[in-house]
Amino acid sequence: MKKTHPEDIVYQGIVIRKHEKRRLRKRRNKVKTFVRSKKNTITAPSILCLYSKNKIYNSTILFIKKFAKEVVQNKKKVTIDLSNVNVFTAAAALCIYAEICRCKLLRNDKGCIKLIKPTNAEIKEKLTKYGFFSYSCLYADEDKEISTEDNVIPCMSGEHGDKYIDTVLDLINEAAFSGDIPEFTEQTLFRSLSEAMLNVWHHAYDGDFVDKDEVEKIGKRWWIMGERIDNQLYIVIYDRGAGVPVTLPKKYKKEMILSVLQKISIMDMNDSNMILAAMELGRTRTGKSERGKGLQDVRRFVEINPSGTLRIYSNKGEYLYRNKSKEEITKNHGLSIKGTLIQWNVKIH
Amino acid sequence: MSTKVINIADDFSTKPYGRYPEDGDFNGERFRNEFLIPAIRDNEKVIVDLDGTRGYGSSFLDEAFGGLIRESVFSFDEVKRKLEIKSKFESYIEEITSYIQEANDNLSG
Repeated sequence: MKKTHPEDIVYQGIVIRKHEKRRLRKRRNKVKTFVRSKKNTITAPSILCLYSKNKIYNSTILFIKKFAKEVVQNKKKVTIDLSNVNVFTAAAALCIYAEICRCKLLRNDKGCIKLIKPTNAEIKEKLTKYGFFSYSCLYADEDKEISTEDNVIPCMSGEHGDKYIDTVLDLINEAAFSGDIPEFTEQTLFRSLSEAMLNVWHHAYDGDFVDKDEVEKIGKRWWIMGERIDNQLYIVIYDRGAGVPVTLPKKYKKEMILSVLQKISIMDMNDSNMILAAMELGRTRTGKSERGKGLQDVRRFVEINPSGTLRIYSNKGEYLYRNKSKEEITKNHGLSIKGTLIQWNVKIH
Repeated sequence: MSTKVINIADDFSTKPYGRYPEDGDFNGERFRNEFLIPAIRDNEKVIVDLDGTRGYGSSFLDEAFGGLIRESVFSFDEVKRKLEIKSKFESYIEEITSYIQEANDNLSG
């Protein structure tokens, strides 16, 4: 056997390092959506948005997956660098906030994620109002006083709607209605929010479909935020459950789901069509009156708002309803949102 | 003829929530068992006043009122004859009526 000279080892080391550098350079060039500039620092893409085209949706989801993997699977402490972000929309903000919260709960370490604030002053101010930098993902659980600022209902989270519905309604009243919410509006908000929270409690974290250890640690949790823009109040609620496409077949027989889809000439049970089926099943009398009314409750109130829009993301599916055009649009993405996000708007009179 | 008036906000809760006991303290099943059933059983007329709460979810209303028929506590006719719903929002009255009707339709067939 040929004896290895110490210099060979050094040389081999140099070659290996060169190969490694080349490999990393190639990898860096390939993945442009986020950059690991320093050790354990993950740089966010400049646009964080779920409403946009597939490419931006995908880069937002990939970014979320990336930092979650580092924290949860690789058990690393991570710094999320938001300094380059110049577009950050509400739904994406809530998803990212929720994922940070989930990571902290799973690691049982509030310091496992640090944030570098955006340099864009407007975005920075917006995120500060959302409560994004206060590491307050457990606001509601910790019974801390939550305050609202300038038309914003900050991100908050909880497990049981019963305990928080009053708080959420009070925040909405203060932030969007200057403490003078009309009774009918409060009634409709109570209804849509309570049913959305109840849906999460009953169905989203069904033990047959989600990791029981994870549910043990994070709870059957929802995240919520809201913002008044002109005369519209936008509300976003998100859960990290199994998603409508997974839980719907447990609630209804496959034939029943297919039958409602066939009525609207759809044969494919992909994720967005499953959201559509959930809407249809809530609308029709199914013989199971106790089920499927949550999404319909939200939609009913979108229908009485001339500028009402309802967006539902569940796993890879997206459903959009615009009251103005009465149009229902469905779309399937390549990547999953890992749960369900519902956004709708209420008119402020 | 005895008449019982139940004001949900005063007698039960200003934030009735959920369907089952595991959903919260002021759930539909509890309201049905502790308030509606005794009142319908012991009186000729029961007026349920919905005003004064922060709102109602469909789960609460369906479980409380539709459950009267679904759980075979009373006949459809008895509920129809004895129960009167009062609310400033007509939509709640229509909704409760539809839950009772739907529960009866499912039971009959």
